[in-house]
Amino acid sequence: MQVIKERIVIDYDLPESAIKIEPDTDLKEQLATLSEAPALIFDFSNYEEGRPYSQTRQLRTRFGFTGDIVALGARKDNVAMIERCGANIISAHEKYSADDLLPFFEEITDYYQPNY
Amino acid sequence: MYQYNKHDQQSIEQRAAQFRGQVERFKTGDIDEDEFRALRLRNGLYYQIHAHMLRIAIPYGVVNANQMRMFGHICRTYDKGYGHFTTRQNLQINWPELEDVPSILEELATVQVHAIQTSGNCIRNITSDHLAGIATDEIEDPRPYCEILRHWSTFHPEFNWLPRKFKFAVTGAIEDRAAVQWHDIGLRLVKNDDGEVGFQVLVGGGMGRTPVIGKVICEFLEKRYIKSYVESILRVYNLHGRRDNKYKARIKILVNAMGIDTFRQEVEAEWELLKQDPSLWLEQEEIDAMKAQFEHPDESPKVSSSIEGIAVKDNNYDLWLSRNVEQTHVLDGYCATFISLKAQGEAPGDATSEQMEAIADIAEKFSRSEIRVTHEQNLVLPYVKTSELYALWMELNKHELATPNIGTLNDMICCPGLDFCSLANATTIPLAAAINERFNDLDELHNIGNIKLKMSGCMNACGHHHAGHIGILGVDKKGKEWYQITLGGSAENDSALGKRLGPAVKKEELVGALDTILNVYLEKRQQDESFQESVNRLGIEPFKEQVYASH
Ligand code: SF4
Repeated sequence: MQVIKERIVIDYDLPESAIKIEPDTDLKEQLATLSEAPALIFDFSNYEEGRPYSQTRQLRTRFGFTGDIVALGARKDNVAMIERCGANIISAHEKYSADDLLPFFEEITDYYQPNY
Repeated sequence: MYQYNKHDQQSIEQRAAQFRGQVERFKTGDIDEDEFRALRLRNGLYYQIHAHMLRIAIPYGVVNANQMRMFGHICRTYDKGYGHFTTRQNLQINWPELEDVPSILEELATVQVHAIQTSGNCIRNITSDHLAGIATDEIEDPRPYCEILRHWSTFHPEFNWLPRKFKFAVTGAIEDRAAVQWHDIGLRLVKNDDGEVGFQVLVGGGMGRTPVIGKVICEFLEKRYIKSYVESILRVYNLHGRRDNKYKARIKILVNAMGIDTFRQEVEAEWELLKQDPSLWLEQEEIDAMKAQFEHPDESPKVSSSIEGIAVKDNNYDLWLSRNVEQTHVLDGYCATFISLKAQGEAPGDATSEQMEAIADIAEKFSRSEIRVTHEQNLVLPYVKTSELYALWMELNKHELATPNIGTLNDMICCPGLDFCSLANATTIPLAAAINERFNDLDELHNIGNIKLKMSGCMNACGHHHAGHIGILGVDKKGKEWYQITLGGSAENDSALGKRLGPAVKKEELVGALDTILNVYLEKRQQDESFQESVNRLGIEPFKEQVYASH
């Protein structure tokens, strides 16, 4: 599939052993399994579902996950937040192509949260 | 007050441009109705019964004269010539056209004002004490911390899609004028036994359908950790707050369900790591730099002192002095003056464009160009020389801004109700007018004394009825408007939930019921006892007996 990685559109094959994380998955409980996975998948297509933002952030910081964090369903107005919270592989919502999203990373160029 | 740097200015300009893009993409169908709703809400734009409503942020209620003048201009140019100051110290305009909103935001940005995060399920405008920085009972000025937290919360990528809205209030004074116990997070600057100043952190307070008074989650938090600590609270809430039912989605429900101790454990588990992140530390340098932004604005020369020294014989002026002027002030020869936005016949909190412009001029002349918005929907001129009070009063009078009713029954908090709000069960503004009309005798009002009347048009409690000494809640009974009365609520240090007096009363009976309640108080009060003190001493029984006996 076409995804954005480091703000460049590339082809990406989802590793077979990638694990899909639900918004109510308790990361701490499954940490042993999850930290072995090459990629974890988060679905952002439900616009108002805010948990994946905290989950990805937690994985990157508190749980030190270094594999791919794959975000599905990104749109123009949340793609920058998704990236800032730790996803490194971003796939667009079905109504957009990955290219459509590229200009929207920089609508706001400077943030107040240096840690994100 | 805080002056934007280049970066702050750029952010709000970029946000205005971003919103213009969002409106355009909505028009071309690139984003659908639901998506646009989520986006416009995060920029303060509602769609209500008749039209759009735009909520403009006034961070912790501090406004300068230029900004106030701009509000007047915006209300005249893009709206119907008036605006509404809210209990969150913000300004709402009720009739802007969607197409105009990007231009409104661009104009506001020229005076360092925005509408960022004034609605939607995100961190909202942070409120504070309207006497911050000038009150004599202050441990520390809360505004620098409000501004630091405003920065921290603005465009926070993790907390833009919370289960529900999230409100902070901060106070630095002994007397709580910011209702910190009624907020999702309440912060109180306190001194510990070693004389260090830090924060007492409260969590899970809130009004609405399930009114709850906030609980202490941390008795004393070092200032250094304020950002990491609130970030931890928000993360636990974002992950665990309920999303299946919007009436159970506020943090107060989560805290109650988990219990404060378990909730604290979860927060501390997050915090363990976050507190080690130096980018989240609040260092003394940063505090000092921020404090420098809140030094008293420049003094103008020659300060004369006491009010008694000025011989003015005017009963109305005397009334105004006793009601609308706060004479204790950290600066010698100065006082704080309240501008009542509760004049007879006006909706509480409303001001016209002309009034806003007049207030801007007056603030420049009499108050070092600064104005504050109170959560009781009035304004404050924080730097008035006592020697100039009479001149100020004359000036305010010209614009109908000298109504001497601060703290009285007529100084009520009232939500927009059925006239403007699609969620309402009942009207509030016409009732506020009816109450004002019944109690229009100033001597009677002053005899009744300090009393907080708060009225909401539905259970969502935007009018804070739970925290009113007298609370009034509009309820719908088979299509008819009824009103539930509560007594004994408070939003101050003695924060309490009002107790139900009994069954709801009909619209036509409400003013009569108030009359009865106040008569019971006047009959039974001891010496200087205030209404609230009487209710606390007597309980609600004697009031109940009379109200329901006479109906
Ligand atoms: S309390 Fe109810 S009626 Fe009043 S503004 Fe809030 S939602 Fe509307």
